[in-house]
Amino acid sequence: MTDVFERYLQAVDRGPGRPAVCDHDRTLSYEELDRYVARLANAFAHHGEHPRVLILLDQGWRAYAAKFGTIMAGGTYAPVNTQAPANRIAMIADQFRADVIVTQQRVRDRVPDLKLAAPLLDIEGDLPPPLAQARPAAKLIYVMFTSGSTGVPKGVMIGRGAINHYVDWVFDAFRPTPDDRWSQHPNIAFDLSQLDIYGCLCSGGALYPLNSRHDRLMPARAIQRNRLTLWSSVPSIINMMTQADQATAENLASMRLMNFIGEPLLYEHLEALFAARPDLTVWNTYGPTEATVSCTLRPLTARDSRTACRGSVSIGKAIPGMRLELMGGPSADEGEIVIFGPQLAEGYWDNPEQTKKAFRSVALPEGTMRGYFTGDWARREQDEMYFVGRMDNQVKIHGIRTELGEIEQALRRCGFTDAVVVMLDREVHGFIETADNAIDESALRARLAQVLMPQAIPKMFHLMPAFPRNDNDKIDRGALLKQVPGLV
Amino acid sequence: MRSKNYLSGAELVASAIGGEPGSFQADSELGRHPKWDSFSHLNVMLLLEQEFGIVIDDATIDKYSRLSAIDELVKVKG
Repeated sequence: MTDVFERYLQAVDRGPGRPAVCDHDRTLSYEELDRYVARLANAFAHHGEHPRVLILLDQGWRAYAAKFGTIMAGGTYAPVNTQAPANRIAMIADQFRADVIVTQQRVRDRVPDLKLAAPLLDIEGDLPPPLAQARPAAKLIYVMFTSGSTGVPKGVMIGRGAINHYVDWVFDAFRPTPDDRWSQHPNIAFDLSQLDIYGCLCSGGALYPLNSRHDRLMPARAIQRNRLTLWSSVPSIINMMTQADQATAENLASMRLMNFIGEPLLYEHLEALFAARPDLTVWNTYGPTEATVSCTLRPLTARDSRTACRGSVSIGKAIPGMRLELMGGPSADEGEIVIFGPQLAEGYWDNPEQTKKAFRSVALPEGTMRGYFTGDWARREQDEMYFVGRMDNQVKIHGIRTELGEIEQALRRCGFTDAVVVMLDREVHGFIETADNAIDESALRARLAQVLMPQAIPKMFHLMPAFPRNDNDKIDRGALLKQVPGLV
Repeated sequence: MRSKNYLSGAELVASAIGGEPGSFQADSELGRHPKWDSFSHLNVMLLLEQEFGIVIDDATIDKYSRLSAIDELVKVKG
C-alpha cells in the first residue's frame, strides 16, 4: 500500500505548475496548494502532537488544503457541512473535542449563533511559515460524522491504512492521469467526497468543486463547461440532468467514466446516460462510510446494462482485498451484507457500545475475521448482488416478513423511478415522485399484484412532484412524511 | 408562449413543486418550506425559464429562491 500523503507529494513534485483545484474564485496550481497545505500544517501543529482539526469550511480549495494540512501535521480531521444547523455543528465540535477549528469569516457570518469552545483558526488570516516536513501520522486520518438513529451524530473513525487501501484501489481501477478533470460534487462532510479529493489530488489531475448554485442545479452544464472527464455522485443527480433535458451527448462529451454510489442506481438512470453517450463507462459502487467510501464495483456498458438490473442495478463484486458475505438470511444467496477487510473503520467515536454491536468477530472457513454488519439486505442472483433495502425497513404485515425496499422496487418496475414505501400504523404507504397530478391507481394495483403479496401492496399512494432531500442529496424520509397532512 | 396565467408567485411555485398555494407565505423561500429544497428548486427555475424566459444563472437562482421575488415577477409580467 502507498500512503496517501506520499502520493500527494509525488503529484506536487511531478507537476508543480499544473492546476490542482479550479474553484469559482481562483485556480490553484499544485505548488500554490502545497504552500497552503504546509502553512496550515504548521498552524495545526501548534495544537498538539496529533491535533484534532474540525474543518468548518465551504466545499472548495480551502477545505482540501485543510485536509492535507491536517495529515501533514500528523492530525485527524472531521469535516463539517457548513450548511448544517448551528446546533448540529456545535454538537459535532463538542463530540470531536476539536483542538482547533479551521474556518473562515464567511462561514462564521452565516452561523452567528454558533458557540464553539475550541480555538478558531481563520484560514484567511495570518498563517505561520510552511512546516518543513510531514510529522508522524495519527492512527485515525478522519472521523466522519453521520446521522445517528438517536439524533446524536455518529462519528465513524477511519484509519490511515483504510484510506490508503481505498486510494490504492482508486488508482488501479480509475487509472487517473494528470490530464483528468475531476468533478467534486459531494459535500466534504459526505465520505464520497474522499474519492474525488484523494483520487484527483494524489494523481496530479485538476479538481473542479461544484459549489456554485448554478453548477449544483445544472450539473451537466458544469461537465460541459469544464470538460470534466471523471464524475462521482449519488444517482439522483442523473434525475436533475434528465429533468432539465441536459443529459445530452454534447454536455457529456468529455466524460470518460461516471461513478455512482450512495443510493440505488436504476435502469432508467443508465438508459438516460447511454442514450446520450452509448460509449460511456458507468460504474455502480456500494459501500457504507464504515467501509471507507466504497468496497464493490459493477462496471456497466450500454450492451450489458440490462442484464445487471433487477429493481435496481447490481452492486457488483467486492474490490480486491475486501470481502462481502450475505449472512442471517434464508439461504447463502440472501442476507445482511457483512463486510470484511482493511477498509473497515476502527469503530464509532466515543461509542464502544455501538461499535461492539456493528463490528463483530465472525467465524469464516479461513478463520475468525472482524466484520461490519451493515444492516443492508441483499440478494445474489446469477452471480450479481442486488441491494434490496435496509433491514430496519423490514416489517411484518399480518405476521409475514416484508421488505419495504422490495415494494419500492416493484413500484420502480411499474415506471415510478423514485418511490418510497413507509409503514405507518400497520399500513403501507407508497410515496411516488411524479409530475402528474393523478395516476391510474387501479392499473397500478393490478400490476403490483403480479409481483407482490396482497399485504405488501400500499394502502395509500401519495403523489409528489419532488421528494425532499437531505444534505447528501438522499431522500429525506422524515421530511417526506411531514408533507402529507395528518400522516404523522 | 405562456402555458398558464399565474395569479401569484405562490401559485407558480406550487405548480412547480407541488402543494397548495395557500401553504406558501410571503416570506417562504428555498429551504424554509417543506417542499422547497435544492432539488425541487430546479423545477421552479425551469418553470420560470419556460414561462418568463428567465436566464438560469447564479444570480437568478439566488434571487428566485424567495417567493417575494417570484411574486414581483408574476405581478410585472403575469
